[in-house]
Amino acid sequence: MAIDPVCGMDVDPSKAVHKTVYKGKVYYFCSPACKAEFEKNPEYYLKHGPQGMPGHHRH
Amino acid sequence: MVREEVYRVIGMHCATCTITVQRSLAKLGVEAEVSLASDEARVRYDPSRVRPRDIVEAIRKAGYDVYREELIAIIRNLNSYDDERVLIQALEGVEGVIEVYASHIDRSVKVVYNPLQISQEGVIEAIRSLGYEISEVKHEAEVEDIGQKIASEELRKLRIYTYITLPLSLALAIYYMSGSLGYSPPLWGLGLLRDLAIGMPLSTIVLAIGSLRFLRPAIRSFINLSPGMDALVILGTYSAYIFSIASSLGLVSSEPFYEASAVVMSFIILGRYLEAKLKARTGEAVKKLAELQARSARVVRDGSEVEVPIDRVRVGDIVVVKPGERIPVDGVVKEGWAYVDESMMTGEPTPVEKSPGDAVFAGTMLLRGSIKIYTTRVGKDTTLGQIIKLVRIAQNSKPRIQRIVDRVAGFFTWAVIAIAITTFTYWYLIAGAPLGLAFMFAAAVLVIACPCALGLATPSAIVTGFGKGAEAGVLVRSAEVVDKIPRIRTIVFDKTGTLTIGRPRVVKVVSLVEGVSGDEILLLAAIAEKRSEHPIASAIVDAASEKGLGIRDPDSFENIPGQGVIAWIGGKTIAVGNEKLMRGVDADLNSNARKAAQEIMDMGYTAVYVAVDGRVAGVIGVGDEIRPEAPEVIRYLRERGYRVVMLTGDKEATARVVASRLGIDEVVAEASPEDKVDVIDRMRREGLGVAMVGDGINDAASLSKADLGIAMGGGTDIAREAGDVILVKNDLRGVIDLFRLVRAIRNKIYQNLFWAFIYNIVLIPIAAGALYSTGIYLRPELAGFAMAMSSISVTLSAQTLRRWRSIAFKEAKAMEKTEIAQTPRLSAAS
Repeated sequence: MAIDPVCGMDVDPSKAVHKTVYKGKVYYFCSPACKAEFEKNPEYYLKHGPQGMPGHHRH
Repeated sequence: MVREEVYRVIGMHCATCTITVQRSLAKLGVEAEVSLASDEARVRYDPSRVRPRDIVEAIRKAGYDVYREELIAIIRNLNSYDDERVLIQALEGVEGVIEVYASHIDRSVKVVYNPLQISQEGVIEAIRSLGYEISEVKHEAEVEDIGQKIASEELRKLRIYTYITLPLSLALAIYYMSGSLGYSPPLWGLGLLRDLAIGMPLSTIVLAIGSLRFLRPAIRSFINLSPGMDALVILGTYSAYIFSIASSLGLVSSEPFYEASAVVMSFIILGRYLEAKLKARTGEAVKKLAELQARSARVVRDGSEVEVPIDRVRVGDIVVVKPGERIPVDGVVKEGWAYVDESMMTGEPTPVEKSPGDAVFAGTMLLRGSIKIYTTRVGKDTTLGQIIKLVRIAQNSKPRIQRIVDRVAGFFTWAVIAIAITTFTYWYLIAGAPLGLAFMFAAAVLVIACPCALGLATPSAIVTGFGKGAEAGVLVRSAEVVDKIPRIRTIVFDKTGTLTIGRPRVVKVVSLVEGVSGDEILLLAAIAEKRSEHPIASAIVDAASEKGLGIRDPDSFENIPGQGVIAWIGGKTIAVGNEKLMRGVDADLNSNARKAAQEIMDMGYTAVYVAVDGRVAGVIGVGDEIRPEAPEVIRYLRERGYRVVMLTGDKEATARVVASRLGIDEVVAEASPEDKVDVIDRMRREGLGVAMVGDGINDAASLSKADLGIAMGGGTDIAREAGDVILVKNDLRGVIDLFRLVRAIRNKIYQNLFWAFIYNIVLIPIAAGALYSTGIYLRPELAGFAMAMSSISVTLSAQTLRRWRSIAFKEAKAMEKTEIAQTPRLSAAS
């Protein structure tokens, strides 16, 4: 199991549809929203860890 | 507007089947839900974009079949071509109707429909509500088979007639001739008795046999006041025969000429026999195709393999095929693998690898390996069966020129009868000739003027020519193409799949690392892409395996949608994809990489970057390649003054690049299927004949809108109904072949008509006795001989079309010669 770096959900890499590559590493997401959020600011999520579903968390 | 329909799919037996069908339908732009449990496909589509026949074809293309029913109705008030067109168009718009064929000639309409959507009564009601009166409804009739049977029966009959009448009448001619020349054959001295003992009985036999064939149609044509050729034959021979009896009985004072009536009749029978025989020979294309059909198949029954006759194989049977055998059925590979030669359908010489899930087709040859096939179609329903049907339909259709000739032949008969009466009246009443002589001239006129040669001129050329075309992979579906082609001034080509191959291929590989070859870049990319299913991936993998590069499996692999793939092998990370993926692996796109990519994009292709361990190592250009034969075809057409247009749904820039490389100036890009139809329509309204060449999958509508639709028939698309012409071999040069072939056929028709007319016009006055004073005249038996010869010569002349060769054939021959010269022959011992 992999962890969605944005919302923290468990994602099965073999079934995941939403993925991206950052610094040579593949990240898996539960939804296109998480993916878009990650691609906007990958360093933030890698540094701070999952923040919950995008649009639901407070800034 | 969206329509929802349910089709029963035949032959699905596994979960993969439903996916295959679904995928094939998705390619068509149809939303589909396929259920294995109910064997049903529920589809939602826009009827203005997709026609039901496209859906059926997509399912067939996947290797399965659709349950359809047929209804043949005889329509009382189907009188003209216009009625025919209106009926077809209206019925094809009815929900549940898949295909409609109509003919005003026999007033029949055939409707192929989906019984899950419309009932037979529904179809009948639809026909009635359009204002057509149905006089009879027939079910699934084996019309073509019956036609075939009648033809061979006719040939057999005519052969027997010829074998009896020809020797008899020749013997009679020799007997009378030698007697007249002063020799004394048996009974010669008996006079009147001799004629009653020899002349009358033998000629009676000949005439009786001939009457079996000609009397009834002749009488019928007189009753209808449209006497034709048969009427002339009967008038000519019977007048000579009755005259001879009268003279034998002493009613007229002239020598009888029994032999004349017999010889004329037997030669005409001979002419008909040869005509039937040549017609059978010109049907060779069909026969050759039919020979590809297997007679038996090895079927698994109760766990063991049994050989059963092909008509006992059912959908769902498991058929086993071994090397060197032709595949007997259409189906899907269930087990095993094989290399199959599909060249008879696709023209593609390279054997195709088949593994479980792949569709295979009856008539193709298994070269290596062994497979078990789950049967989905048998007999007439196979793709091969449909091709055979199409060729037959085309060979039986008539071009306009033939319809004109038929009408002319009708007037001609009346004119000839009038000339014969005038001739008799003139010689007997005005010139005061003996009754016998006057009668002889009249009979000679009737016999010589028989318009058989006119009647043969067109069909013999059409049948022979189209047979030749079919052999070359140019399938002409209607003889009307012969009338249409001379009117064509504009030729519109679809781009993808027509001018181009239709699937992406690797066109360029650039290495950006010194000391690393392009092949190494390609291999790395292929390893990374090996397990991906993207069309770009298969292009790269295909290119690498064609080069014989040993592609290994990556240790692990990840497909990133919209970006590319990333794979790991032996501690190395390979990323193959677009700019976004390169950023993702932190690979720097330096100016060299950007320059290489730009060059590829300027050529109209897609640039794919290859990065190894975060460093861009190369760029691969992937794109839809222009067909190698396309430039030649465009040049040929432009040189002959045709306006050539490219019509495509692609982006303007890409289309322009391809067009400029092909030498096409006029491009209509970014066109939806409806736009395409509008463009064709607009061009047609400009008043010039428009031909459309398309690959038939997404061009169906514009193909049928154009004056002449030419469908590229790759593989299973052969049986498509959209085009007037189908290029079975998926070779664009078929367009050139078509134009060349039709020109050859037309020349032959005109040549035949010219000779047939000249012949009659020159010989009628001579037969009427115009040159009698100089001693030149035609005895009726000589007239009969001359007439028979004219028919035979026209039919033989049409056979010269058999020497016509396709461009591909000519090139192959030239290649063969050089190859034989270069390579030593293998020893016969192997």
